[in-house]
Amino acid sequence: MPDIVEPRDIELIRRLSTGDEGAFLEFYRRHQGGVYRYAVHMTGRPEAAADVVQETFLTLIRQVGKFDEEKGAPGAFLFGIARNHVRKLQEKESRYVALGDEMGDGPMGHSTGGNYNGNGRYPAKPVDTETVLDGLERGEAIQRLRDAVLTLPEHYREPITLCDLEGKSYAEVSTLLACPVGTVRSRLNRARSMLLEKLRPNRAGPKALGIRLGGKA
Amino acid sequence: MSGMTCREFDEVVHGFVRMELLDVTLREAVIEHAAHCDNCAERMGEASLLAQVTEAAAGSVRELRAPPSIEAALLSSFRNQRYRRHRTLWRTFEWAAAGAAAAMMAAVLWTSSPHPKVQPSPAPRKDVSSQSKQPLDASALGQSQSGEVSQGTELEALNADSGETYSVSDFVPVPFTDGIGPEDPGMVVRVQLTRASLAELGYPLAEAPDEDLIRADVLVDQDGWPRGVRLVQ
Repeated sequence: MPDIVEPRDIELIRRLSTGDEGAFLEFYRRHQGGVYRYAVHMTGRPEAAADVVQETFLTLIRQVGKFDEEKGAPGAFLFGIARNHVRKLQEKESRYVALGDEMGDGPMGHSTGGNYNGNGRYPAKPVDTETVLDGLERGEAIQRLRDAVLTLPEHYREPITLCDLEGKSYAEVSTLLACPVGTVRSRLNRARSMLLEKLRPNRAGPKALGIRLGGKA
Repeated sequence: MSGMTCREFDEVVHGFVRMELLDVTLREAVIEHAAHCDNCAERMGEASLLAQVTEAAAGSVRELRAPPSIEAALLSSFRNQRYRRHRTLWRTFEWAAAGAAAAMMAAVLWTSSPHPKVQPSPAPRKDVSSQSKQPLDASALGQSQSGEVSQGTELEALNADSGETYSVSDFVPVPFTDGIGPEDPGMVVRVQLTRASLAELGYPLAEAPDEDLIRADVLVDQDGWPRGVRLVQ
């Protein structure tokens, strides 16, 4: 029985540009999850992420003719569009979060859009990963991490999102962010250190990361 | 105690706990440093916990997808965009076709306008030595469809190119042909014909001057066929 070979992205883009609906659907289904999760991590709000997905693919439909095979892969082209839309969204929304910050909401506060679980804005999924955390503590830890990620400057948030949360390699992220692998590595290390600092309620406290430290507490 | 400083430890501890740090010597140095530095040991524990929480967070959204309604909305937009593209293409084609039609119309009008121009005579008339043409009211032939030469209706005209004055008779229809209808603009080609050619066109030689080459106007329809002939004197 012959193997079914999925068409490559580049073939899908070529067909898509000629108006092939099937190619568009396949390309969308292949990439929408990644774009959506990236947008969720960057904005902290699923509804905003859904807008980003919609705008990203609308832009692709309108500007597919601008795709240049010589300049990179279709995935990178799509990610570039998504990144622009995330930035536009954040610029637009940054006008409305200043009041919350003044009212004393810290980096973990709701004004940053980080309240995922309280009102169900961040859909929870079962976690298969074996960790030292369990039950509520694990959920809280994940929530605090997400909130902390949202407070990182964008150039640190992106490598954390793409490498640690999306599981992409340094080389892939280097391509997507158009910067050297060394830069990705150093930003990622810095971002992880910043996260540790943000997640520590008080530096000398027994509950680092705001949660029980297992056997070390 | 190893030579690793706390600052150097900080730079590699996250890679160490995530198994990204593959250099064996460096890994041993990290372990040795943590064994002798309480702060860095605690930091290693925190880094390890951060790695676990990050992995759990990644796992919690691994299957996250955009709402299905977006796919439907995008598909609709895709179809609209494709329709618009096709419509634009068709519009371009329509404009091109309209332009071509206008150009053809202009060419026809120009051809039937009073501009003097060189026009080859009908193929069988190889004895034509020179030509010129001028517009003609097609009804002139229709009026003389009876086949008789109207001798008394000669017109006087002025040749704009040479300034010479000449007179013309009515057209004599070419035998076995239909006259030119009112919708056919027709065309008059001035030629010099031998007497034999004139006879072939059905002109009565008795009315023609006794010359080797006789100036005449040939009325030609849109298809290029001669429909009538008249003398020019």
